[in-house]
Amino acid sequence: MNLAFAGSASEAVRYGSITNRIEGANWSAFVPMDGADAAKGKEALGAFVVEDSIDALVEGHSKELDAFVIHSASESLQEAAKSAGKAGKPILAGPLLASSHGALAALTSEMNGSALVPAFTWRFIPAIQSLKASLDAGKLGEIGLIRLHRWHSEASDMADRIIPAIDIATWFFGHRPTKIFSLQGTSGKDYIQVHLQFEGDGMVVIDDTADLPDGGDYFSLTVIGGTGAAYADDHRNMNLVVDGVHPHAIRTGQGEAHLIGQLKAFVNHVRGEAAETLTTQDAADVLDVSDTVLGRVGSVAVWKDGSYEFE
Amino acid sequence: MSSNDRPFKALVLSIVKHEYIPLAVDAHPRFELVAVADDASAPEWVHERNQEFADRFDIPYVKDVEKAFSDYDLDLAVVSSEAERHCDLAVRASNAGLHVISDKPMSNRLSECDRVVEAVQRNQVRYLLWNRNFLPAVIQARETIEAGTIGDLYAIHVDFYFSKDAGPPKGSRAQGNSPINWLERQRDAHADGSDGGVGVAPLGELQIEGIYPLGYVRVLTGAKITRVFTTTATHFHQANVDNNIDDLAAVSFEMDEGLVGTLCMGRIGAASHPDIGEIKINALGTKGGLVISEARPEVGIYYRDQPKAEFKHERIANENDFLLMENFATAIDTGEDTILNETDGRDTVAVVQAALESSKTNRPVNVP
Repeated sequence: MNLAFAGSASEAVRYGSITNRIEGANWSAFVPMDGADAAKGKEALGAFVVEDSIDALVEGHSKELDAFVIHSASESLQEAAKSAGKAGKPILAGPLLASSHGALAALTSEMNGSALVPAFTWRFIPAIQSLKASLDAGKLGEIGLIRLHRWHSEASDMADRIIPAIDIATWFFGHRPTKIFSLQGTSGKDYIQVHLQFEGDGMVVIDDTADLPDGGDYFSLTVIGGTGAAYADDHRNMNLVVDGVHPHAIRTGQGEAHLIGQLKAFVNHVRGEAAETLTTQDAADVLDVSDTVLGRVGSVAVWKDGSYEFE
Repeated sequence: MSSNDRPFKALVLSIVKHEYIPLAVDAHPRFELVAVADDASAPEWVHERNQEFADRFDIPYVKDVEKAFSDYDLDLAVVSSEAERHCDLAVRASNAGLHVISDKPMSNRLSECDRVVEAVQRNQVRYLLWNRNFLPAVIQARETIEAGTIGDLYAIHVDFYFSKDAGPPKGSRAQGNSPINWLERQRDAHADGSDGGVGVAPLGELQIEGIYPLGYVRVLTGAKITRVFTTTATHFHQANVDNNIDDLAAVSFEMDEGLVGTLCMGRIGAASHPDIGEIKINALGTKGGLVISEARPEVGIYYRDQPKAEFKHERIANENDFLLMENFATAIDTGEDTILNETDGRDTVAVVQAALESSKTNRPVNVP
């Protein structure tokens, strides 16, 4: 399978490093984005073709390509997706296709039916995969509570930050929440806490901050089910460095398994070997929730007649 | 009444629930148990438990509370009755001039807590609601926050998943069988110590255990919770289903001084954790964050034929009981407040009451 990659050189290096994990697929083309070093990206991917733009790639090499992978955190992601859509080939675009329901709707309306697959890379993180597998196997019973702590040190758009957490919650439950409540406090910090209720008696509580000091982050996901519980907590995965001051905690990484998992799923989808993949409708459902979370902090929103209404 | 040379003399005012409180009183060198007392009108099973405890400690059991107040030279009362009687016994002890240590929950009714606050303050006695604020990890959290290591707090989150079972699992009642009677179930549970909700009135986990995590929030922030949004569920235990009370809850809250936070708690069942439960405090400050496991320090002990019910990780260096008693002695000596006094206890019940109302109305509720 001939894949085209569009993104920064550093992302090209990451994707290049996992090429041999995706059987039967190779990077045929590279389109540098966000001021990327074209030569570095081409070499990292082992690509044969480099073009300055996706439009140029589509125009010159569309027939030779089977699918596009676009990875850019910049606003140019959506424009790149539209350009790739002209080839009529499947497109995996991320890390976050859109930050709001409206932005996604505007994009999909211009895709002319091309198969646009939104990246949900966080779903492929080994710890999250493990918890989901436990749930799917029925080990934990019916979910009662999902608790998620997510702390970062790099400022970013709040919507972008909470979307993965909301997606994990709704993915685990398999449907959207019926009630939404959020709080931020008056500290002025880049912080939010989200409280969701699901049909039946399920609930989700998320806290997210981007105000940690540089160099640190923390993630914890707990799933409490009727017959068991699962804990994916950075606190459990810390080793120690003892260097004469205080012992420092260092987290054992989970490598690029999430990237590999996402790409394998996409390639299998393109080959027709995977019946289902993530769709823009999945993304739209999540963005509907995240829009509501940020819509009126401190008020309760209720799912009623096909949309959320604040009470 | 008090002097460092003379032990404080304690009356055990009903001992139907947690023995560890009078045991902690007895174990502290500045306190001694003098008698057990209860109302003559108490049910026979209560008298039996009171008598058994009195016999074990070779102290009298008096079936007349007011007579015990007048007949013995007392300094304090230790209340560990059914939950709905805690406050009434505490008020009567306060009116007799006795300091009070009360088992949790303070009460299932806020109006009763208000009576205690009034009586304790009018009689100028000290009141301690039993809590876990002196666990080593909680002390560490407090010291770290007070040292300013993470700056000024702006959010606090407590996860309190208690893994003790509470009788048969949800969905286990056979068709035609009667619902589980709350009091009978609690009485049966005395053997394994899962009778924290003993009493006639059914109590959910927020009411029974909420004092512990809310006590952490109180001691670590110094702030009061002013508004809550809560969701609850009956997810695990048939006794909770049959009595229409929660065993799982999530509370989002706002506090004075602009703080916010959340509490997730439940009695999640013994299968869901290898030890007593996953209990953590996550605090966010202007300079960083703090992730504290309440279980630490602990040691791991595993061996062949290990009983299933034995925790594989054993908490160590836990001086919570001694330090609570030390705190209470200091409060009596100096007139200072205890680490969780009558007002703190009352405010905790107010938060729980507001949380339960919120869970029913699906709206945020101001804490009274």
